[in-house]
Amino acid sequence: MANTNTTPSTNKIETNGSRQLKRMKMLIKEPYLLAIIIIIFVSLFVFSIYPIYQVFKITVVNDEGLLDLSLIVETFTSSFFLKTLWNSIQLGILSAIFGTIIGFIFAYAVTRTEMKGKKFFNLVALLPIISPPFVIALSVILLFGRNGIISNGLFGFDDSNVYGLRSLVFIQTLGFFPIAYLNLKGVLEAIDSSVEDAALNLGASRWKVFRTITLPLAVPGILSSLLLVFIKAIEDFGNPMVIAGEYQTLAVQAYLQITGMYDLRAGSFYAVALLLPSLTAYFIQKYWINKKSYVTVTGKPTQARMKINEKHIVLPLFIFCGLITGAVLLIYGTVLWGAFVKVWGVDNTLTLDNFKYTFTLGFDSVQNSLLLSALSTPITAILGMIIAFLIIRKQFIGKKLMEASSMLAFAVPGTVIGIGYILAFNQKPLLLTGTALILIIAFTFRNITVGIEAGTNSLRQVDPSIEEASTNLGASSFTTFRKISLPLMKSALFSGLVYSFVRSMTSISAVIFLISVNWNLLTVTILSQVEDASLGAAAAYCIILIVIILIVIGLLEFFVNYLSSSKRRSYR
Amino acid sequence: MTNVSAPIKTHSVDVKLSNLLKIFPTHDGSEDFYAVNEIELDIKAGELVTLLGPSGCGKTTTLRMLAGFELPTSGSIHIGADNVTNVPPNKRNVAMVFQSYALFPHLSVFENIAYGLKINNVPKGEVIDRTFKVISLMHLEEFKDRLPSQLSGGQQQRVALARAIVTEPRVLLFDEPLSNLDAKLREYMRDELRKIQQRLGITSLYVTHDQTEAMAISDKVVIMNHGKIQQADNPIDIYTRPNNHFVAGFMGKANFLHGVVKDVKDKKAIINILGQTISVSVNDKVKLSENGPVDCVTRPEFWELSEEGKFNGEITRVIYLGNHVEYEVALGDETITMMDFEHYKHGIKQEGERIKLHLKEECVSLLPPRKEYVKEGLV
Repeated sequence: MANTNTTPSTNKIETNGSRQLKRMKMLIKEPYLLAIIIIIFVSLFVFSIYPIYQVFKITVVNDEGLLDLSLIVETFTSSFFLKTLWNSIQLGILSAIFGTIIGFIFAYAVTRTEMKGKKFFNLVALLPIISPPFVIALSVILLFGRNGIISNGLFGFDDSNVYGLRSLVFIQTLGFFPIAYLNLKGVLEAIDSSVEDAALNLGASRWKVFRTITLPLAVPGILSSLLLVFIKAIEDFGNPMVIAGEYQTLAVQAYLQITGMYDLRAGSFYAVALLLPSLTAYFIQKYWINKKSYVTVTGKPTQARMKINEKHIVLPLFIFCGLITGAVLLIYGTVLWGAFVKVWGVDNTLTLDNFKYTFTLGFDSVQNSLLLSALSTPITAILGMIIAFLIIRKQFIGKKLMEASSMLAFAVPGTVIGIGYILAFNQKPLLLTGTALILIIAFTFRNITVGIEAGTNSLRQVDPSIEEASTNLGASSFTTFRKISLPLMKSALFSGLVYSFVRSMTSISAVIFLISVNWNLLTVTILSQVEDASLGAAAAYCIILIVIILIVIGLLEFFVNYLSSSKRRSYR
Repeated sequence: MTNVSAPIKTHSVDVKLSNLLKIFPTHDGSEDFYAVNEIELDIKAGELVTLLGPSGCGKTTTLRMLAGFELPTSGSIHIGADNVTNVPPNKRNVAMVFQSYALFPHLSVFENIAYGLKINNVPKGEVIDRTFKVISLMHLEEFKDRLPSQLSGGQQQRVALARAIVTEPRVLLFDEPLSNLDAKLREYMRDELRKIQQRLGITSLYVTHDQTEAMAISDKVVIMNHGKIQQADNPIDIYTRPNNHFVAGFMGKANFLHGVVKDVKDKKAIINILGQTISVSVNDKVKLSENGPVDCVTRPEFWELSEEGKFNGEITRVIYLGNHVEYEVALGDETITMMDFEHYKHGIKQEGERIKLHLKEECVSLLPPRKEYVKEGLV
């Protein structure tokens, strides 16, 4: 290379090769780092890629181990399958549109106006995120079902049919609009306020500013919200299971084929059919739309935004947000009430019987959920931070592969992961089915992306020279991560912890395949109570679940703040 | 600011960069970018050497290769007797003061400074001892429990320097350390940095794009452009005996005037410029031949207003700067910039005014003519 007389092309090849070689050499000098990278690669392969591959494989390989496409041909020509596929997609599209519209209006009202009660609206909008999604379905049955307080109690219908597409769209819109809201809130907040100010300054009206500036700049956010809600809606298992009635969806069918008909191959096929649209949507969202984002992190402090205070704008927004918030509160209030009445719609006297019943029926599933979530949460969060650190700050071969495969278990529907895990881990040397370990692993690998995203976002805002300073003073990568990067990712660590705990506690679509007699989980218990029509007990369990989540979030917040403030002496 | 006795031990060593090359590949696969193009540089023990040049000239890349944050494509780096070319950055014992300071935002001033010692497993008592010594050297006592965000820019700068020197590094690196300070503070900190560096006698490499800063603090200034060293000399030689047009133009202002050599004798050259004859000392930068072309470097302060001056010109632009006035003057086909430091005596001239100028011929230095002029026959 020192020979500059070589032609540019050969020169480049040589330098590329030697650069890779040098990187490897540097890695070998840090054995911890190298070991961690290898361990992460192996575990991502075993617990994310391999199970998903198994699901694909079983749909095209028959019991004799031969390539057999008859299942695909058969299923694709069956009108039942096509109807189910269409149902799922229809449900996804409708929920995505309604959820995104509501989410956008909420986000706009909160970020751009002086509307009163913003904090309250914000808080209520988070309720559906921290509770199991089928709480809403349960509540809708309590409200509008055969013994519903509105359908029967208020209007006296005794044959109201709450099951079907309409209820499902309503439930999923209400359950998943917070995802669109949070996403769009971030986007709207990140749009530089001076851009909108400039338009106002040039003489545009509020409406003009909204139509020509705010909305176009938010388009990437809107598209990604649509896709996120779409994915959530089609892969949702709990709500359709409870309330879909005759309206069949892919996630439910995959489960019924396996547990009802003992047909693992057909079930897998339904799961794959579910996987393709959701995975496509996820990667479009991740790589195509996010690239188009106008939002840039400059690190320059932006001045406070001038908020809209005109009555004719704020009042309609306030009423709209109030109605949605009211609906959410009604839903959760109903569950709370349902947990405390004797026989819903028949004998409305208040009682603690439901809670007593949950204790006699067994508190095992509550303990299991708590224990397994508590075990997987710190692993998930720390692993997420480590992978985030590696992806943002380190150079190594296969980095892109690590990033993509760590997202895989998050992006594919829980149903696929559940089925994949039974297929992959039902024999030695990886005989895990029926154990607690398989549940912990499923939680960890399904939730790790949340930690990685939070970690990469916060690391991008940390000046790399801070870490270089540490290296420069003699710290190894490992020490730098522990002493500098991790403390600076504190808030990301917190949200990683919270999200992975909440997602573990409330997950159902994957774990319903993995539970066993010894290791039953709370969400599955609730679902079976709903199916047995013991709605009071189901409501009581839901309340217990939500209370646990709230307590743990509080504890985590206290703990993380305590950790960082205990070392801080008072200076102000 | 600094205490009289220096409590920091230092290990002064030479630094040698040999044939250092750094190529960055371009993403679109077009021609590679030669960030640093085979440079040679020796830094003597205890010297402060400045890398100076426009942005993108390779100075920061050179510094980062010495720190170990970039690996050279080829060439070698020696610190003292050790070849550190492939030593990881955390094993080099070279301390860096970062442009952004890169203080650890979650650690107090004390913890920031003690960090490097703790990392290297220095016994606890010694960590406290040494950290306090540096804190008092840098006069940071009253801030030691504060977080970086509670310090002013100048204080942060001192913490960054304290953190770098506490580990008794073999080499101290500065990456434009003063660029975030306001002009007054920058001058003050510049002198403090230099004092401490000299007292400790640490071999230092300093990167800046500010020529005054480089002049003020350096034992040796290295001017870089396009990844190559243009000149490496002490500040006086850099200014008075520039190697080429780039150096002359980058270090201060320069008017280049094209002349024709008439005669050479006794180390003096007689040169025709602008229809006049001047006598200039010969240097080793250019080979002179009779009737051959040559470029004369005339700095603005080499010109003065004088009734006896040989050169007649017309003022085309006036910039009043307080302690002096800068004029642009048309001399025939050429336009030069000159400075008048005695405007209270001469009065401030107006645009369009005709003036006579004297050139201090003894200051003028010579360079080979730029190739393009030769080609275009403009000589």
